[in-house]
Amino acid sequence: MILLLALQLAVASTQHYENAKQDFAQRKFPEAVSEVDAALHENPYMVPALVLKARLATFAHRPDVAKSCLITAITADPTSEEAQFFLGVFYYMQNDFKLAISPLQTAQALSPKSPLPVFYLAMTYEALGQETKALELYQQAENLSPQKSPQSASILVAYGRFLLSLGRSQDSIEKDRRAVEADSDSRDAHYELAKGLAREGDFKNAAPEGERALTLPELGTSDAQIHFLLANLYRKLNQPDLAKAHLEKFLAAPQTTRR
Amino acid sequence: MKLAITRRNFLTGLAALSSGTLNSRALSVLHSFQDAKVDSEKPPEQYFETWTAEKTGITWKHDNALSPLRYLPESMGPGVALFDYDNDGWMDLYFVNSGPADFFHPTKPLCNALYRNNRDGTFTDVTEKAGVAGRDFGIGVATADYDRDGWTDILVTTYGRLILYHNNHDGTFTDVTKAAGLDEPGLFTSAVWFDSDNNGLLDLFVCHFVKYDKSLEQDCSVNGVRHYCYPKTYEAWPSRLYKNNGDGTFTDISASSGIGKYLGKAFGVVATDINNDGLLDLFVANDSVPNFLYLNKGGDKFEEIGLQAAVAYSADGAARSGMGVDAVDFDEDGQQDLLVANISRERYSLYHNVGHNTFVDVANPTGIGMATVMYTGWGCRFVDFDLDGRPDLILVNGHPDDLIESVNSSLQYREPLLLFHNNGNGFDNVSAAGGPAFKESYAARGLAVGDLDNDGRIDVVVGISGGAPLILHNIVSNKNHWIGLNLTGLAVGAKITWSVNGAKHSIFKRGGGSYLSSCDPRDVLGLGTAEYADWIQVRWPAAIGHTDRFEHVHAGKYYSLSPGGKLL
Repeated sequence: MILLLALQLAVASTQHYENAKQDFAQRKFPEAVSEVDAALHENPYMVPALVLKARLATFAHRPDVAKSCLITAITADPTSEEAQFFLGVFYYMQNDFKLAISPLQTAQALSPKSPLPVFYLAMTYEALGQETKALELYQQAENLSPQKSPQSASILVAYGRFLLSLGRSQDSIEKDRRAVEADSDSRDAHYELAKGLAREGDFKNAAPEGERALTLPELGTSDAQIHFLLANLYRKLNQPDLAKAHLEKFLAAPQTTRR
Repeated sequence: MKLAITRRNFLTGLAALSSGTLNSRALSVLHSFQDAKVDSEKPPEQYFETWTAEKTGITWKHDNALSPLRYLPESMGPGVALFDYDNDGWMDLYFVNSGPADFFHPTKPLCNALYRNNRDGTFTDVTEKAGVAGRDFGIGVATADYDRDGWTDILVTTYGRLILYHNNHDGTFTDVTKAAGLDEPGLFTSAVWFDSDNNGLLDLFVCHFVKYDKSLEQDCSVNGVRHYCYPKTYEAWPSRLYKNNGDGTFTDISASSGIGKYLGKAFGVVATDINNDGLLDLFVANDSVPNFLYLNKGGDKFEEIGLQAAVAYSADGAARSGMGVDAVDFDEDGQQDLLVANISRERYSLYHNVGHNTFVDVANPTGIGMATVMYTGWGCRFVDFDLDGRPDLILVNGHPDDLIESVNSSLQYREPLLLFHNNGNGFDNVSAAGGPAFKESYAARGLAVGDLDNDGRIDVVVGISGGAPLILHNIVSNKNHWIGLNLTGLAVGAKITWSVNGAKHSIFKRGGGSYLSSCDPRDVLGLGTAEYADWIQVRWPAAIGHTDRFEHVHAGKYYSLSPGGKLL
């Protein structure tokens, strides 16, 4: 009788979790929250559900809930690559880079062929100012993601941006070009390519890349960033009207700071 | 860690050059480094020793007024000044302290401090006799002889007002703020004395931070605990420009000069000449809003060109959190470059002057960017610590939020000092050779440099928030020689050029710079191993319009020079 009840609960929690996953994929966040809560009501230590709840909480700007779910998840199952990875990503997103390293390294050890833990480790070491380690990890992440895909494009964009920050603009351009090949609809890739070309003084080829970026959906790079870049490019290209137009749009946008 | 342009990058640059793919700006950076014509040297094994309070007799400590409610001005100071108040040829020290304010009622009296240099590494507190205790909520200091009487005066910036102390030539000062027309309320930070209109009189630019009083303070709690608010919480406010009337009074020309219409959150300022037109321009570091570059158009008019000059924002169009600033021709190409110390994750900015009033941020290719990614910088100064003729760089750091570690384990409230050696090809991070102080961490703010013991080696004084000042005595031991130069009278805006074994170096005498602080007005010319300079040339500021030149000048002493005079 007890076994049957336990089986019923397990089936019910799995079904709720599957529903939640589906709702999450369809960006039906309130429905996903209800379903994941139902799953966790039946099974409070269901690791995939805890991870999904953490991801939903991040979307809802509730880092406290996200952190609590992820810590519960890795306590329940320290071998969950997904839980370790998302805990690392959580700390990374909170700019708490030192804390991000351990779970990301664990995730990497648990899933050595996955590029994502290595990729986030690379970004984490970059943020900590550890140049050599970051370079090594970016290269590893690139090697682990050989197929042309939005994911490999993201890795190449970040790698290229890092190289640009080290003053290696030609190496950066090479990564950005490959990112564009991997995902021609990546706004970030076109924007970073434009920046790299601009750094090399190739304003003529940089401007179309910036213009292309502006036509793509805004996910990472903002319109304001692109307008700022284009204003500078058109000024260099001696096209004052275009420079002025982009400058006005940049100034009209909300001003950003890193803080 | 080596932070110069790497051999690989340099070779890549050469390859790109031969294939025609290297752009003109990158080329100019490489060129300028390569054209320095000075052999790269091994940096010194140790730069500084720490002079303790027991040695110096300096017992003064800063009180940062730290309160549970975390009022903004608590996190800002203190500034320090090195200047010779009694004209005995030895640098004295002035420290700025907090004091009573609408949000702070100290339980014991707090005051600024003036210490007289006893010429033996010790100092004597002469504050009360001198009458410069302040007892306001002091923040920064800028010293200069504004009335051309040959004695250095003191301007103190505070939360509340400015204080102008006139030097009475007898070891005492008189507060002449009201009579001078400088009695205005505000939250003032750094200040610079400079001749804005080439009439031979020192005018005054004062950075104003945000619009502030106790009632405007915000609750920026995290998990129920009060933290200092980010500056974007507060309203931006204009800085001030005061014209020296030549009779001991000043006129506020902020509005008519064009400066008053720009709302900023100004922390640091340096006066330099970015386009070599003989007019001093102003570069202002703002926190969380774009930096300002005020181009001096002459006739008491300034035009703000930060955006066009590419010094206002980061490469991604984000305003950074600028605090300390400096201006120097770090690559010896004849044009003044600019430095800004920003907050953690932003990297500091090193703007290379590429001509036509435009700049390129070369913090990354020079290694400064990556080395500063985790730090928050305040005081900063380019100065030739090892006397090889090239300006090195010191940066002092510390996060403004004393509780930052409770919300982010990657950041620290107290941060290490940073020291970079200019090797002629780039910068090496030589902090590990800085000495014992570089192994510690501090809540550092103001920084001033100067020669405390007249040995020709530049020492450093750092203002520590809520603590005793840090005094770093330069003990660089190499075979390099030096010539000290004390330009009397109006000197900001002068250009000193010297030649050693055919290699030319120069120093443009900027006004202000660093953060909240004022440096030794004398200059030390590094000669490398040469025992004399082939020649020294001083091109005085435009108001004087005179150039002096001296041949075969021997090393190892300070010379005093007036326009048209002899080296004494």
